[in-house]
Amino acid sequence: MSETYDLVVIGAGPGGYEAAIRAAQYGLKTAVVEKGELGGTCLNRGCIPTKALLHAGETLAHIKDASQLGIEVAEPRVDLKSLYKYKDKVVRRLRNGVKGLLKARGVEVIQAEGRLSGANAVETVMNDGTRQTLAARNIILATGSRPAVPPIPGLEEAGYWTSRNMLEDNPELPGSITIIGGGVIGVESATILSDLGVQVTIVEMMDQLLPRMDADVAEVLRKELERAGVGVKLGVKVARVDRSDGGKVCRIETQAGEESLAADEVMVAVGRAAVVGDDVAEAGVALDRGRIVVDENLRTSLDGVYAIGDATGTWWLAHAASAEALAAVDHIAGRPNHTNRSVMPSCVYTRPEIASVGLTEDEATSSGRRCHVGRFPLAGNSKSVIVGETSGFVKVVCDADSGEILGTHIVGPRATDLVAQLATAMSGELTAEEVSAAIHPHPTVSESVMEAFHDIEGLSIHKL
Amino acid sequence: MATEVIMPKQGLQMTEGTIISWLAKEGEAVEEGKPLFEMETDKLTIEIAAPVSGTLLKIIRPEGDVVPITELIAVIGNDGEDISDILAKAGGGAAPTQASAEPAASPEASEPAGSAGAEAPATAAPAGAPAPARSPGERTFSSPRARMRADESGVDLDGVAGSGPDGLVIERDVLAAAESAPKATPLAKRAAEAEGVDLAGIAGSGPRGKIYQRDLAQAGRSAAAGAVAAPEDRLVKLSGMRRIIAERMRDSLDSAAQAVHRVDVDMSEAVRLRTSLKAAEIPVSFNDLILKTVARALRSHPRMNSRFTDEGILEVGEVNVGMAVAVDEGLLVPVIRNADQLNLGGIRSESRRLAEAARSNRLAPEELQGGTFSVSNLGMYELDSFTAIINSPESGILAVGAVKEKAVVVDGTIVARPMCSLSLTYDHRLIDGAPAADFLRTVKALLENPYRLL
Repeated sequence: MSETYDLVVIGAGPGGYEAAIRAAQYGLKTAVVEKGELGGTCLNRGCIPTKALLHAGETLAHIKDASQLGIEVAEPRVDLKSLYKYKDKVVRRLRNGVKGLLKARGVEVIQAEGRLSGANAVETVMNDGTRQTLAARNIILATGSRPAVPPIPGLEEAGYWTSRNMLEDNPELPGSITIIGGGVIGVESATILSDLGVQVTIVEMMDQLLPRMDADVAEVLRKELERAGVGVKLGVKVARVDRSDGGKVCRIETQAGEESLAADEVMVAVGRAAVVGDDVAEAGVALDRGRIVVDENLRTSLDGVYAIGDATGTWWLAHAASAEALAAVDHIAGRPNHTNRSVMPSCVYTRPEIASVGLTEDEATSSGRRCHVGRFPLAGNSKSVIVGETSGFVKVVCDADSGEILGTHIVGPRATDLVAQLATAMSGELTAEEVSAAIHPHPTVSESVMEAFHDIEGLSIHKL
Repeated sequence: MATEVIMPKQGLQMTEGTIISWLAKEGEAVEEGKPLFEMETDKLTIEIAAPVSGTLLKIIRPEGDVVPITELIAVIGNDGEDISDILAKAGGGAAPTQASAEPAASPEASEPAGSAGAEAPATAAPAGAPAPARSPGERTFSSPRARMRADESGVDLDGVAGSGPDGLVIERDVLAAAESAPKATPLAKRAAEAEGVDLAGIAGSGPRGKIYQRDLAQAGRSAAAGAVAAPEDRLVKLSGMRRIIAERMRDSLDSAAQAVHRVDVDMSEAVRLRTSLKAAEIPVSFNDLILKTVARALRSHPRMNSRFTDEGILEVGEVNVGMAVAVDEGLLVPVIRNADQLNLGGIRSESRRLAEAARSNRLAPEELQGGTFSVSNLGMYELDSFTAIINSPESGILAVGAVKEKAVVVDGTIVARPMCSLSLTYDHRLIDGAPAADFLRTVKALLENPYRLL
């Protein structure tokens, strides 16, 4: 133990590396300990590579539709090897970017497994077994998550895919796949695999896809997925999984009764589970159902030890981890942090894209408040017509008395970019009137947001 | 070059003066430094010397006139000098000022011709002009552009000091007022309005102290939440304010003979009145009602509005009610001047303005002086009752507890009524127990029949 660090971060995902950089920006002596690749799940096995593949799928779809624009293209063909090379190039470039940023900011990157060994000590275990103990005034646990696997009988024996298999180098794509789980990971995986020619069926236990999203949003997605040839089975429980002549059979329970669903492969996409080592509990950090318990300042039960991101299991979102990272470092540095982390946008990169922030219409109305809902279908939006994606809509849910924007839901082109302005409005506590009064440029999809707010008063121009 | 003689400001609190007598006649020679006229303020009678030597060319305001400070009252110059420009200016308001500055302009030029014209009243006023304060209750005159800005920014024009001609509230006054108003998000403003919460009393947790909705809830809770106990002793250096408070409190107890009367007031009607006013979108707090009540009661009990002096007991003409405002590490008691002449709306806007100014440390010195009686309200801390120390040299202070439902006996039956406990600390040197009790009875009667305040 030579010097004491102001901060040691365990895990260099989007939470951990941002915490380290911000701490270094504040002049804290900082180290980040990572046993795998910089960038964590998000950059290496999550957000980034999936979006690269989805971008390819979208491009492919555009090419297939090009004739409608008067562009004649020969039948496009996907070279899987080149596609994955492109994906890897994107990942590598961003990973090098993170490495460069950490270095430039003077963050010490320690390639090792980091283990918490007390309130002020992190033990590092290198690949060759070398152990070292770092003394730290503050520690941030940013150990992330892994795919959660439900205890379905037969599943372990039959073997299964997770999103990770889909992203591995040169995967052998199955001809058909059953995806267990219709959440964000399930529907994005379905989109990728379907684009790549895999026959996909999604089975979801709840009555809608994206169970945490607004029901109307989920319904648009269901129709679009089915239009693209993806099978969607809702309200279905997978009773067991078995291996059968080269494939996998899911026995599913529907309201009508039991049936069998055969496919070449089965993918588990029911969510994620926090990665929390035994060291954490042994050091005296309180856990709740395998997740690290933190207070509003991201402090664990152990003084000087913080936890952020998926390890706390609050949001399972990269940008949530990043926001928590900056809040934790602000708390360590004694600086104010003004981020309202309850205004948390969430994005789904399907076609059409889906984004939302705040309460769904059901949540808002069942909370007992008097709500106003404004809707605007993209069929009335010129830019959406131009790009040929008119199946979506914008829905805004506001408190009838205060005008508070309770929730906004967007299905449509670049919905994931559009939601940022609504997150800004909500986090700045603009009311419906202010957003309604802001000029939105023409022709853009963003006009639909304004029109949805106008619709609250029944004054949307391009809607009947 | 003729010299304009204006009503001088004598003392911080002076807003206007009465011309008692001119000591020279028009056409007579006057000498710099020699008495020119005699005037009287609310505090004193004083002879004012001529600012320059020359001939008293014109007396513009005759004896007996009450003239706001800085207003033109006479002109001194050389014999036969042309002072028509000055006289023209003295004769009217803003428009002639402009016309005389641009003699070539057609008569229509003074009419706002478009948006540029509409701006003219604001820009025409001299930038450094002193702000003649309005006396409370006086009507607020404002430029159209100022009213537009006030509308936009939600600034209450009654609370804005005008810097334009004749105290006209102009655009920049409103902008300045809007600038100094507490910053809050649109949602927080809405919520505060809906709940009748005064944003001035709330600490913003957002960037640059901006008030967010959560701060409203926090403000409600913080009263109840106790401070975290520090295990170690901590020596806090005396701030200037702390030192002054310490001295004033000690002095007050040393000089005044302080005695206390206490009475419970049934606030049922006050609650009702407040609810109906709120429905009419006039959010009035209990404190506003009490301030108004006290002002009214002081008017009818002049001894309670007096001051102990060496010469005798000075029954003060004005009713200037101080309101205790807790500020960071201290206490300020800004004064609502002539509070008896303000209606409830006037009390409300003035008390809000003063509270905000107190908390943001922007009170003018004169806004802290001249009080005759004070009100201290700790009802938000859910106190049943408490006693306060007189803000010397005032005659008394009313300590107001929380309005709480309590069991009381009405016509032989026990019923729940919103009750409020008032404690009057009075200076027994000035007033005896019975008349002090009579004053308190008047306060109680008014609060129990608050419609009489309207």
